[in-house]
Amino acid sequence: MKTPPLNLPRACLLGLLVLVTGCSDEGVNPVFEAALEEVNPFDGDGDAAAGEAAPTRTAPSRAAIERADVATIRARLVTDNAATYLLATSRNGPYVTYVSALRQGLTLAGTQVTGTRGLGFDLLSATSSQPDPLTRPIPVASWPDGVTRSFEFPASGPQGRIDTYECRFERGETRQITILEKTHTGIEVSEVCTGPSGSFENLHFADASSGQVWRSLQWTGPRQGLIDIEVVLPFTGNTN
Amino acid sequence: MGKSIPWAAYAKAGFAAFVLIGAAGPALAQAKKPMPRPSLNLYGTTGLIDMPSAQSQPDGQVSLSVSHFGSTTRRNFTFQILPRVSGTLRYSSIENWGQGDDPSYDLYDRSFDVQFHLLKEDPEGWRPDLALGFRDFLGTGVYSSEYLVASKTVARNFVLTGGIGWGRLSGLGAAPNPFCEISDTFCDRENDFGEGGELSYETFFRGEDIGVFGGVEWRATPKFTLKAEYSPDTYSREQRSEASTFERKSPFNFGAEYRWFEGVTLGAYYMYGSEVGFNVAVSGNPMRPLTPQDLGAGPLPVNARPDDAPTGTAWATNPAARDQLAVALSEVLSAEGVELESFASDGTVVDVAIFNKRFNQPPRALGRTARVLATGMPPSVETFRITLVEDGLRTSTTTIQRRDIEELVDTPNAGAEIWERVTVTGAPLTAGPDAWRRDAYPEYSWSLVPAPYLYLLTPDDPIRLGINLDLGGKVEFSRGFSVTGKLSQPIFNVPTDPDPAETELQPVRSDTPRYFADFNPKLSQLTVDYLFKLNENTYGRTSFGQLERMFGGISGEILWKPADQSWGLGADLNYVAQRDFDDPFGFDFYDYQVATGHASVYWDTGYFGLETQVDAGRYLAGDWGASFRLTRRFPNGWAVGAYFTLTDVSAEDFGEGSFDKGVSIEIPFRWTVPFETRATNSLSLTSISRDGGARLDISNRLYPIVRDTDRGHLRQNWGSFWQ
Repeated sequence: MKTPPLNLPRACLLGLLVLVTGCSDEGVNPVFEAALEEVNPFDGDGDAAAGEAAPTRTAPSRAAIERADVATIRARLVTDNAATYLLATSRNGPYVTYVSALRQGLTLAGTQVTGTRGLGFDLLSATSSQPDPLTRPIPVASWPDGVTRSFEFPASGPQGRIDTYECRFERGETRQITILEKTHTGIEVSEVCTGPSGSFENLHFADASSGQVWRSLQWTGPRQGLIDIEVVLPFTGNTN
Repeated sequence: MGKSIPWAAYAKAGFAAFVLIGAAGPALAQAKKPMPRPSLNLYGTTGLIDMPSAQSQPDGQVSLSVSHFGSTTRRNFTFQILPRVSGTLRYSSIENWGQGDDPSYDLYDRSFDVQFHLLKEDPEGWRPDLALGFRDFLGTGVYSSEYLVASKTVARNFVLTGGIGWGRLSGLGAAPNPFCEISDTFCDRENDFGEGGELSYETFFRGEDIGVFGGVEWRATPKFTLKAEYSPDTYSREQRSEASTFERKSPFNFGAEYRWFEGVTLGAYYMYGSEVGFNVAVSGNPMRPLTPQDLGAGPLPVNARPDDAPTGTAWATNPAARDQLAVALSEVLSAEGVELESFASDGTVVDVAIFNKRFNQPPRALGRTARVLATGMPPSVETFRITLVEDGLRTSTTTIQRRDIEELVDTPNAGAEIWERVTVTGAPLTAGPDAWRRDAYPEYSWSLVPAPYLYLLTPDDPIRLGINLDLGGKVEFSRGFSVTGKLSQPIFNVPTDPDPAETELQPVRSDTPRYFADFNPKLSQLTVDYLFKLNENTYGRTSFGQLERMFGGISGEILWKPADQSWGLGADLNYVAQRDFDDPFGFDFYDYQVATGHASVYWDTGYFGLETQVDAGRYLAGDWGASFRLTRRFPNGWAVGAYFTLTDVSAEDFGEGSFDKGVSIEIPFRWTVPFETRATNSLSLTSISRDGGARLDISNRLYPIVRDTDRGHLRQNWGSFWQ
């Protein structure tokens, strides 16, 4: 296997981390270890270094996912190059939690992101006024003019900091998208949200008649930014 | 089509991680740009160039800066103590200050400032920011001045500042001091430039005249700022010595500042018509970590137990089954960064004791453990009692109902909801006779960490910032009983052995530089320690050996601190001898023994994380007195504190500063790195090399061990329970 090229800024970052943190008999978390492998300029054999814990880098096929019969989404922070597949692993009422191979998690109510874990800056929870076409599918023609969205971010005390935004939907064009070998036809709807600390724009792609949102670009916080979610196999039933 | 969720299936799918640093996404997609943080002046406080402004830094902001112009160099530490109160500790050197017959005498001076933000600007209206400030109110008076200043943003990125001042800020008197109308005594202002260290309230708002100052600041671009100001400071004392090369020709100063990247600002100035100056400021905020703080494996997903799940408890009466369950639980928790110390259950209640190895915030370890228990315990278990263990001490027990976990997991506002339902109490002394216990002793651990240190105001070495590499090792023979060793290797800015310090007291701290000198590795600790509990709320410690770099002996401590109470009481008693600086096991050079100890009161005020500590007793030099400490502790482990100690040592015997005081700062490594670690580093900005009011530096005092797991501190961090 070829030696990865030296990534000098990241190598410097690693050196700095070692310098400031020192080392001990305690380990670090698996995501960080995986990230280290990404940037480690001294590792000439990625497979050997990755060991058993390393995730496979082969994208699953739709056939494999449908055979497994597990609700699946594909997600990517807009700052990342690669998307990650997450599978539904738990459900509490309308809240379904999807988890990646490295146990980073997204909680969705329908297709509304109501929580993120392990992606960098956790969104503790999120709520919206009803009806919200993200939490319960509504034919696009019947979508309300807007919704109120509240986000809870980590802060001092048992309750996080709550930021509330007023959001307005604006319907766009009908188009087609392909999500893991399957093509969907639907309508693009933008959602502009404004609040006391700024504004952001979400973008959704929904089936015109059923209202099922197949793809959604959603804001998850001031530092984490937008996350792009594609519904590969929708959650339609119970867990377990 | 109903989609089932086989627990193991997800582990086989998916692939890459969200990449490390890339997770730090952009700000709001189309957000309004927030106003940039106000800039700092050459005194390290919020302001123009040499003059203050009325603006404030964000709450909690910590800034370190170094400035130089003419003969003056200032090293400043500024902390936004509360949203409307800021404080500054400054360590200045002024070349050719002159003293007695020595015109080339260089002055090294420490000073303290405080500023109160009286009015907050109304961005839409006419009201400006208004602040009242006191410069050098607790020092020798070299920079002694008071001011009332207003600042107003008059156009986008254009700030006007104007104020009136007393003391140095009245050098170019603009008008008679209005307070002279009240009493003639207000017209007299004397600064003695003596040992300093005492509150100089006799000089506040005094002097024949007041001065006016002001200036403008234009943030031309987000990175580039231009400043101009009028300063009434005549710098007359700095020019008095015949050796002085500084000449003040003009009251006008001009400057440009470049915000290199967030937190680092470089400034260049043309000062007083004759000098070029510079300023380097590094700034950070405990509430704005440098790296993503939530990057890593998320918590275990939790599903509620099926309604028809079997609820038999027979498994709990079978020791083999119980031990098997405990071992499996231990392995799962270990992967979470949590060590299972003990496990007991009667079938409906599970008691576990855990040592949190990884998480900076204890509630996060509690939450992870609760999720593992909710996922892995037999359905009959209804209650989780989780005891946190720190340094072998069982500190607090949090009781959580399993159905609350199942009901609230992943729901909005779950942090506040579950906090209302849990109870936090003092941990019982033991896990009980039938409990499974981790068979781990003797247990070995080690660490290798850089350890910066700073000492100030030593007569022949006024300021030194150095770095050691500390190799630590610990062997635990049983719970609470251990041997700890620490070897310190100097690696950067290592001093040579100075002469013995000149002091009127036993050199218990003034010889500190001798203990850091040369490249030889130093045995900074070698102790046998035993930590124990007397009852649910009372803790004890005994230590024997080389307790710290400068003293060895025997130490005992007791602490009463109920977990659900905001205050506690403690006492320590020690008999120690001063160690040789050049022999790791010698005590002959100083031949000094002393009995020292204190009674202590600790109180967490619950207001902005402010905590107080009062210690009264006998200090290392044999002096008697009391220490007062106020610390603001942030949920993520940052702590910025200030303290002073008053003893029966006279100001003359103490030396510069009159009595011991200073600030300290603790920065968790977690704030700077994108992965969980409990390591912290601390820096003390204080005159550690004075001998009055010096206390033993014990590494495992009880209150810091139990503090973070009491109810108040768990509450402060409780938002992380579900993370």
